[in-house]
Amino acid sequence: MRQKLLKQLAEFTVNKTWLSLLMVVALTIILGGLASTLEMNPGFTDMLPEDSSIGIEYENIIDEFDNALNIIVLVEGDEQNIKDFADHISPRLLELEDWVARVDYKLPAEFLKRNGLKLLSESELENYTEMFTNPNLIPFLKNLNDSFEKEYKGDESIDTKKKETSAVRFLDGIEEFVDIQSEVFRGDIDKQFGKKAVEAITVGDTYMVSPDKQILLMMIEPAFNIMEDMYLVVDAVNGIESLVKDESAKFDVFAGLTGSIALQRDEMHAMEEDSFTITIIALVGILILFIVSFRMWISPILAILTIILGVIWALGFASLLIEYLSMMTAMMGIILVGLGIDFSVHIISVYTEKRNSGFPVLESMIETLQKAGPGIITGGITTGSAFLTMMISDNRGMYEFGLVAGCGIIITMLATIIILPTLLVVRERVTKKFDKLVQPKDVSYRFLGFIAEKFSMRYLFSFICLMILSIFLFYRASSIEVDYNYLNMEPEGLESILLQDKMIDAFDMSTDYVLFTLDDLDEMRQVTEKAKEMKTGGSVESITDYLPDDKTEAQRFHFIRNLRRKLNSTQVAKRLTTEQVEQFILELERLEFNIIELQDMAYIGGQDKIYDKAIYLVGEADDTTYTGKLTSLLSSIDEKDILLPLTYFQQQFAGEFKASILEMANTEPLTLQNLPSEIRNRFIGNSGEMFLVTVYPKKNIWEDVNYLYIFAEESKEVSEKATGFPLIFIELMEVFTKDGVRATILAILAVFLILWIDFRSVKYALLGMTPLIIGVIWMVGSMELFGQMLTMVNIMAIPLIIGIGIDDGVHILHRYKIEKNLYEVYRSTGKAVLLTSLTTMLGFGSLWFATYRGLGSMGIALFIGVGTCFLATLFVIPVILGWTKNGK
Amino acid sequence: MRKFYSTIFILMLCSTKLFATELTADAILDSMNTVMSPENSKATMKQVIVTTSGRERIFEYEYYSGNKGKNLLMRYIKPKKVKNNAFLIANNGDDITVYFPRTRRTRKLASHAKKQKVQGSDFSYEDFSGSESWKEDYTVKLFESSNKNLYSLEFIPKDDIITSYSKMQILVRKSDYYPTELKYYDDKGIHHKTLFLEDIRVIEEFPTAMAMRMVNHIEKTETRMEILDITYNITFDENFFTERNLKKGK
Repeated sequence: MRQKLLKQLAEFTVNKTWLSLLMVVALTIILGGLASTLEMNPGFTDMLPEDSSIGIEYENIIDEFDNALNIIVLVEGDEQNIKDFADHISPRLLELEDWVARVDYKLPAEFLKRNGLKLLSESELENYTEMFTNPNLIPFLKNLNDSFEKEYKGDESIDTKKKETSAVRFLDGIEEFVDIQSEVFRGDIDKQFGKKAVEAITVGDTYMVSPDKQILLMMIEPAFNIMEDMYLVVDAVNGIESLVKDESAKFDVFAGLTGSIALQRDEMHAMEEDSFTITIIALVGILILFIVSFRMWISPILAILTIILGVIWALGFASLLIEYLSMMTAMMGIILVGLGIDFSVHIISVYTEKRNSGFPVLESMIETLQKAGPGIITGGITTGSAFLTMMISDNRGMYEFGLVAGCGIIITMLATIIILPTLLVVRERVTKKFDKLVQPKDVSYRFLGFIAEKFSMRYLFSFICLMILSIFLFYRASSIEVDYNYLNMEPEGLESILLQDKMIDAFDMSTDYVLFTLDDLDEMRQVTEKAKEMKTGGSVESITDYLPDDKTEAQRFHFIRNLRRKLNSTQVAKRLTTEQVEQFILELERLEFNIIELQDMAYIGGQDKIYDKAIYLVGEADDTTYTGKLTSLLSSIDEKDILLPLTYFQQQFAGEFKASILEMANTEPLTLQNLPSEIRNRFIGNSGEMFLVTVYPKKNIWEDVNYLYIFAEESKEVSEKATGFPLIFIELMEVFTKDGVRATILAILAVFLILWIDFRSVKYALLGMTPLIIGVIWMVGSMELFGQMLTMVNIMAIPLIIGIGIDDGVHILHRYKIEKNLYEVYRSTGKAVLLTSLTTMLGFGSLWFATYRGLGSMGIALFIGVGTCFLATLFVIPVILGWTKNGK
Repeated sequence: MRKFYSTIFILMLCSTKLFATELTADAILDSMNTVMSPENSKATMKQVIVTTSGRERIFEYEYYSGNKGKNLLMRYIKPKKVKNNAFLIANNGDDITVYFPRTRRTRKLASHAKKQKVQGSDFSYEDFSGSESWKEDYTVKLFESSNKNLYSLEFIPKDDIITSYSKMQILVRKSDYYPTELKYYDDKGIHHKTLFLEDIRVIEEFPTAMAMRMVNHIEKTETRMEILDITYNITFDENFFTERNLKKGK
């Protein structure tokens, strides 16, 4: 039946060449149109099972919290320039109404001025209460120093990153205070000095700047839902980026985009570029290989053309099956090129052989399709079926990949059988060689026949050698490690990723946080408290930071009332005496000492940011070139000259300070309603009934898999509703591993079943499977030997190779059943198998150039796998056949 | 003759039994304290920490231990930035004083500071305090060890003791009563840290771990300390472990 169909196809191609060509063109136009509708989406959550609670919760958060995923503008340059740029660009960004809903780059200063004290912890409030009881300059400095020195005795130590950040902010305020003092003593009298100094101490810098004030962040909340249309996301990010880049040049600053949305745009762009570039690299490599091995030009070009058309057909068909290409399915094109080209190799190989043997076109084509066709069909179906087994996966990514690649390979196989014979005959007609017979020449690889024959004859020795090799590689395979570091799969060199790294370093802002949502305030408070007790947890953010419970608020109000009482009873001094000036200088010296000691403790304690910040004030122990602002101020003060400016500053400062603290020291309760929109927006959902808690890990979760798992485990213990990228990643790893094993077992069964039906012989089916199994063992063993690790992506190479590697044995055994001569089979079909293996290796090997390193790891695994399966076919089948034949 | 051998056998059995019963947890702890707490010692130590920015920082300091580890004085030698900064840890970690040579001032840390991390490391101040007071502060129990060459001791703190640990487990070598591993359990009973005592050499008749490795199982961090040189043949005058001496940098 199959042979009859193949014969009819060959006759139709040769006799109705132009009609056949027309049909190919028509089908290509239709399927090409469909293929062009396929879009890309590199999101990770799309690959989770549809019923994954973590995935559902994550998507709910994105829906509910507009700023859950932001576009972040990172601005780098001099302090004043970056601030000026931010003030300039913010209103312009807001003009992009379709894309930008809001822009945040400052703390809510007015809210903090009114409520700052209510947000402090009890111990902080105790310290501040003492510090703020007297608004006059010298008592304030004395209280500040007392408070500094109390740091070592009190309950608080700077042993967490959050506290480190708050210490840096505090030093930052002192730095500005010192700057103002310096200006005052230089005689620059500005009426705003008092106010500025007070704001520096009480609120600090309101811009979102790094401790060294060289980097500023702007958070852009998108006006669109990023889940809806990926191409809208791309347009928006491109538009915003273009505006930001153009304007940044005017301010002599660098500005770029990062954050998950910009990252997604860059990843998608990289994926699109990758799939194009890599396909071109693969095609050029394959073409060169063809030209060298077949010593001809036109046929290889026709093969390449066939595979391009085949991939278009497959992609067109795929558009009927899936909505968009994910990170997994995006590499379908390259897989189809690598595998589909094999079918062309077999057809060209036999056709050229027949034509070189002096057969006319029709006879050559019939012979070609009848000899190579069954192997191609079986190979296509086994590979396709092995891919289709991945559809058992609960994982959407793996399911779609199995569906698309499985159907794709079968479509490509059918396309090759239809298109290539047509093109070969068209060439014969165009070059007018149709009726001419070609001079016979031998284009086979005799060395392959020789190797197979030798292995068959010395089957026992070869068997022992192969067994030793296999046991060794099995041992190595069993010790292969798994790389859980997601960052090793990320693209390298993308601007958004580089900026993200910069942001994480400068602001300690990990993007690998865990999120919880709750619909009850009390429950949210409990979850926040539980989260704070996580051993692996760093800082915890929730609305409780701004909305204390009644008991805490009452305690805080107690301190605030005391402070108000004390402050009200203190008078603002109008004059200063020379003794007070001396005291002022002594207090400044004491402040310098306190900062030096804080700096030393920070150095010993490894708190770099505090140490570096303190350098601006007091310099460094081993650096005499920079003295620090406070030290310089002290060395420049002459107590005789400063009485007047100091008195003037005292009057301004003390008046402002008293007024500010009195304003802060109000006991108006904080409620959900009176919180500013910047805060509400971060922690309360659109419905107003959902609250968000964010927990950052204490350290980089990707450096240690155990830490990642403990962090995830602790998060789940806090609340079952925990979600976030660390949990998504773990679920993906678990699903991929579980389904990878299931798919591998199923693929082996499916391949065996197809071989059994195809050969109608258990013996031949087992014979076909043996080099495959050995090839897979060699593959994983070699990966370990070459220092490769299993990743979430390349673990898929194992079930894939079951489908791919089987083809070698199938073609050899099909030919062997006809020829019964190992030398002949390996000399001729062996060459085709070698070439198909090399083309597939080239195809997959080109993935090494992928920007996405995850795809690169997959390419390397498949490159090794295809190579080991070929070697196993070359060495193992002759040994088994030699043993069964001669060993009897 | 047979009777003779039987008698010898029974005697041996009894003596083993006798010795076995003698080795109570307290007795092992006493022996451990004897080898662990030489009267005085002076060492030069090297320590590697990882800063909050992920950079490695190496320190070298002089380490003086007196009164069987009850009092400690640590003075930094390297790097230059903190040269002569010094810590005095007295009364088993209850009193901690710091000296800053740049300001020539000393500061006292609160008693609860003993629970806090020392110098960005995985050690806390209380990990440095001597084992002398353990007998008074903890209830000690002896457990079977999977390694027949080691004793396994469990320490549960008594109610009135300020400590961040709910339990300690210590593996002690039977040969010389020197500990090889100290496991620390936090207030929730979770195995938090393990101190590995490695490269144990006999220095001036005292077994001495030339390398110590504190592994934090929760934060997955590790701090290594090395002894560059050490001597036990040293005596300190009564003013050595005082604030006054703390200020005497070289």
